[in-house]
Amino acid sequence: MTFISNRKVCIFCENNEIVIDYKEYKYLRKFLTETGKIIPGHVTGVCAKHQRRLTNAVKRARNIALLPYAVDPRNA
Amino acid sequence: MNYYETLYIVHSALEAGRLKDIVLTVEESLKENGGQVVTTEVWGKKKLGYYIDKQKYGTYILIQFKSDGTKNNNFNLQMEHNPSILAYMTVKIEEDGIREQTEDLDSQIAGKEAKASRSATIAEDVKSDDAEESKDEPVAEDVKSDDAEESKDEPVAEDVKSDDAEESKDEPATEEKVEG
Repeated sequence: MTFISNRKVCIFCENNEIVIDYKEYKYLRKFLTETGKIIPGHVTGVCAKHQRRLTNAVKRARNIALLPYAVDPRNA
Repeated sequence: MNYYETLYIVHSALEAGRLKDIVLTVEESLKENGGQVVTTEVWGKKKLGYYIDKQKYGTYILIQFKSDGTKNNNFNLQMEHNPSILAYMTVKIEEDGIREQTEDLDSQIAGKEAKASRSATIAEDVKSDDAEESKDEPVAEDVKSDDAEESKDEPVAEDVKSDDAEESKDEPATEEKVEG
């Protein structure tokens, strides 16, 4: 579920309707690697402001077990 | 007054009646701590991101409430001491984040249970279908034998052609008769 592109415009700045929320954990998976790490903003094209919100949302989702903290690469 | 929401995971072994009891106890403890329930949403049984108390699955329930926030610590403590609740998380939300409750609690729980049982039956059906498919193989052979029979029928078609040929042979005779 990696999201790697060379886009220069932040996807959240482009589309205001997308809400960064820990409850939308399926959408957040786009910004994680297969092993569950958060992909850096410079890779996904997300701006600093939204990357901060994204990180908080992912960490909340991990806390309540909606997302894993880490996935064994052999099982990914 | 602020808005808060608590997402908690109930042990997946609890069935409809007991699940409702848990939800009602949580709501009661929330009211005792000065909260005012706005929305309760049952997400249903989900696979957890990691094992909690050796459990792989859990039933997620979201409860949104209005409170001044002074007694949220007490509420969280009560959640902590509830053995049926695997995990919980209370966060502050904006008023925009409040969701409208479309269904009442009973129908939500019943709906999720029905969905879970349906998916379970579908999974069973798929398994039984696989088993039937293995049984169906002789049928496939029957089809092949039908094909073989059809191939046997082909000579009949040839017979028809030969009949046509005979008819064509007969035609000149009739012409001769007309001439005669």
